[in-house]
Amino acid sequence: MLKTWIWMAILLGINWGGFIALLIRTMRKEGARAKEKQ
Amino acid sequence: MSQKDKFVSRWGFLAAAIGMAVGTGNIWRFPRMTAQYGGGVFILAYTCALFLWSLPLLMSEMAIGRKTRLGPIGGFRDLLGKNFTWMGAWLVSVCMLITFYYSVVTGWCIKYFTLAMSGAFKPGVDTGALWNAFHNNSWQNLFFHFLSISLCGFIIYKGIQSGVERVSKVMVPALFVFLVVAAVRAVTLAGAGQGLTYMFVPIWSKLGKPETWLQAFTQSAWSTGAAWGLLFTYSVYTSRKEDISQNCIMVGFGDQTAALLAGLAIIPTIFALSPDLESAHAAMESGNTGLTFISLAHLFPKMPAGFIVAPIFFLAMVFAAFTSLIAMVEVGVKTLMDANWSRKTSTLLVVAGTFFLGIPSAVFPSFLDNQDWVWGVALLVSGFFIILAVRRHGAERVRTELINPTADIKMGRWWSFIITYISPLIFLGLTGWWLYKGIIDNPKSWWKPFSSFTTMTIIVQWALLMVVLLLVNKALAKWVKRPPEEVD
Repeated sequence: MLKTWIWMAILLGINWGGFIALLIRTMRKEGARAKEKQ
Repeated sequence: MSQKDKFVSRWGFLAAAIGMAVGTGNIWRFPRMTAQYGGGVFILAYTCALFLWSLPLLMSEMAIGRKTRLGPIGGFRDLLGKNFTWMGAWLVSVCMLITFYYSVVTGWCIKYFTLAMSGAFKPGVDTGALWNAFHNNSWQNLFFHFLSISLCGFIIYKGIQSGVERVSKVMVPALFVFLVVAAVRAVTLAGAGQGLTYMFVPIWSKLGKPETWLQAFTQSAWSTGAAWGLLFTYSVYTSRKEDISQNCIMVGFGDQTAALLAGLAIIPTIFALSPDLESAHAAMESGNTGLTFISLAHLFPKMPAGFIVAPIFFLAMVFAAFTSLIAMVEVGVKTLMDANWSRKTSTLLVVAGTFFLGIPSAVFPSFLDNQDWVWGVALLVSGFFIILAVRRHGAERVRTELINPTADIKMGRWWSFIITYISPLIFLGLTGWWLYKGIIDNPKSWWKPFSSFTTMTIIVQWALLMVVLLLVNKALAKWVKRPPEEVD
């Protein structure tokens, strides 16, 4: 089962990790833009 | 373009674009393909496909749409010249031909949501018979087809801001929450570990098999919405300052995230609740509708809290299908609007056209299968036309003038290399393989144009469409007007 967990972490890490990292990046950028407008 | 026909926020655009990409294929095809083609190996190949085929195409579509401010027909005309208008029309035609039967498929999801809500999936119910009874009932299929396209038309009629953006901002986050709930329930079932192993641990012997790679690239091509003309159309409604590369990468990863969540919701459920391994394997190989509407519907009653999970799962399917259907219908509506027709008239025409031209798919299941086969593979040709457009305009020009100036994540020269040399090879490999498959799967009937899954039915229908579009090319180029000047 350890092998399963390791592969799960790698494959979900690449895909979900990529998605979440970009979400956070966009959130920060849009937050900064909103502050600038204010 | 009126201010109402623009996405108000980047989040609104992202929600609509991710909703466009995440469709039924993420839920009922990706888990099957993963199970069939080596688990982790398939997921790795699928991730490669995202970077080598889907992302370059999505970025190109968004770049052309944002630059020309026109749907695919006008976009190809203005970027490449009048002689190439028919290529944009091919993109729109293929998308619409898929829309005609996708509305029927969305209707199936709505029907199954209502069945789940009414508690129809009880222990001992023959879900195979239930599906067959519904599938062969033309009136019910027509009713749900009508319901799905009417609801979609109502949203499109409201416009981008009050319709598409508002609905996507609710449906897309909800879809992800529903998939998370279904996945958590599935992986916490006793015996789910076997399913997780099946899904994630790579079967390395499959790595060297061409079919694994071909299926992974095909899945990515169909699933991300690349070359459908959908992002092309949505990008017309974005600001000229909108970041192309980061938004497209988010759409790609968002699509894969949803697919993996669906895999986590389905594969462990099948392995934990099937009576034996043989039944689990049979369920995974029972086709899209077999897996979802028969096998899963049969297993939900055996699941603790299954009476809650079943409606959540089928509502997730409705939202996934519906947000994709909205994007498809918008392609047709935008095409008519480019010829100066009002949104109201365009929506009415596209909705009525989709309903009537979807009737054969709603009434004759074999017709739907045929259309899915012919126009699914045709999306690869659409991708090739986008590649040709980028090459003709200059891949480096597209990268440096259209993508990078407003991008947070700049694309390097490798982007131009991929779309110029790698993507055309992928097109040749995939299209050639599907046409070859049509022959080897039907050695005695591949030349028959009226059979569902033959190579000849593809060739004949593609040729017919291409001839028609070439004949009306000049008229189409005149028909689409110039986009109005806008203040950004």
